[in-house]
Amino acid sequence: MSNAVQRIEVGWNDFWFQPEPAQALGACRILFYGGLFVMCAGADFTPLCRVAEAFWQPVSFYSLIFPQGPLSAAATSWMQLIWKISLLMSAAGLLTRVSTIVSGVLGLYLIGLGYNFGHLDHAMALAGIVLIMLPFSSCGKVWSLDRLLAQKRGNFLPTLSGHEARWPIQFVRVALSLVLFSAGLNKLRTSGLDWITTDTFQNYLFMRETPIGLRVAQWPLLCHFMAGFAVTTEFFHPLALVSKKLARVWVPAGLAVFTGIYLTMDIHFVFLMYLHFFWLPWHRLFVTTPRRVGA
Amino acid sequence: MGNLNSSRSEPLSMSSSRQWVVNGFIVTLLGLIVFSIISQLEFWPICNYPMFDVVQLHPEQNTIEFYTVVGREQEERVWRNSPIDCLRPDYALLAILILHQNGWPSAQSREAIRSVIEEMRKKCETRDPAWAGPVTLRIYLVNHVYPATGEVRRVITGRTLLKELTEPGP
Repeated sequence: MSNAVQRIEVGWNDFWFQPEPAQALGACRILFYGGLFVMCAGADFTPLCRVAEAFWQPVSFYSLIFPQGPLSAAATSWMQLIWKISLLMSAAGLLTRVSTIVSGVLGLYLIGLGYNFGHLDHAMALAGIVLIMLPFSSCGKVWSLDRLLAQKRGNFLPTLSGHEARWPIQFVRVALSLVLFSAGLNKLRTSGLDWITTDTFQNYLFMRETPIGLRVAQWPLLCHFMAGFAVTTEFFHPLALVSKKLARVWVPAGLAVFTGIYLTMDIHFVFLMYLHFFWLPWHRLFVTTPRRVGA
Repeated sequence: MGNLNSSRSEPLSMSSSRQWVVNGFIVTLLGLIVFSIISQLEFWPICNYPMFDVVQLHPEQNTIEFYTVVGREQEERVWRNSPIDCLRPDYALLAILILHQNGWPSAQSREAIRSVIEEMRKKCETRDPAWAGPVTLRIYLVNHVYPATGEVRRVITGRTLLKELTEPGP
């Protein structure tokens, strides 16, 4: 193998598989599925099944699997019940492989159902991607009922390696950075620097008519600064993946952009903000207890 | 467990087949995300996040003028940037009209829309929480300026379309 290829392989492995405390993946599993359950516990998707067929405009995999319309309200009602139970089971780590697959498949269908009537929303897209990703990980091997039950039965359940704990966490970090990068790139690609130098942001604030947004809109220079801050933060957010020092700058900056959007434009990327827990410095939180991994 | 103090290039504590699965998964999913960003195509849950990316030169957005419908082709990015709450079907109905009707909606479509909205009104009156609050009617015209062409397009955004749908088209 040539040196260059070897270097690429080492770099790839360093990036994706540098050991992370195994407990981190258990904590992320609990926070992700638990948070999704809390957010969706009261959601009822069945009204969407009663909308007249004329308005069904399937996108993505729905156009292949459900071209004629969504499943019936009765079936959807059962699906959402099973989904919510599977979210709880996934959070608890009970039958984790099965429950994460079920919550992934049903979650993709249910969360995306509302986007088949003419408008595609982005706020929950990353949740959908994480729902696909986590069943591939070994997140059930740590801090799970599966482990407790196996121990009670006297069975041996292999512990989770730091390498296996790392890649799912790193994957969400990369995906989050790509969300912001993509938003910044689209602004620059579609509008160029005009997005910052014209009154675009100010006009969006007037359009959205939130109390804070309208106050900010009274200050054109502030609007330009906020527009510049948003585009810069978004476009350069992947720098957070390069080093921990840069992450300490760009991750809070990204959160500030989401918070600003929420306050001034009343657009809620709540779950995207919540998913920033994947950026927590897990090695600091758990590094003193390596012997307890999987306990 | 993995040694947290291990050197950066230590062998992975994963089987070779597991490494293939994980690496393949990462490359595939991230590849799809990057493809979506480059191509500006969206296939939920993989999106390219084009929200509010157009230059907006006119602050007077809420002028009620008249009802019009724009065509389907080339307008997708317009409606995707419009403030429509997709989780409420009544908003989505409007988006569908904008996107998928070339001209005034057919009698069949209007009848279907009317029946849905009537059902929604009844549910609102009975305070069904799933349908709370969506029955005001306002139609807005918004000018989106696309810097690439300098072209000004008109697109409707708004809340619901009850009144307009019960009246004859332009």
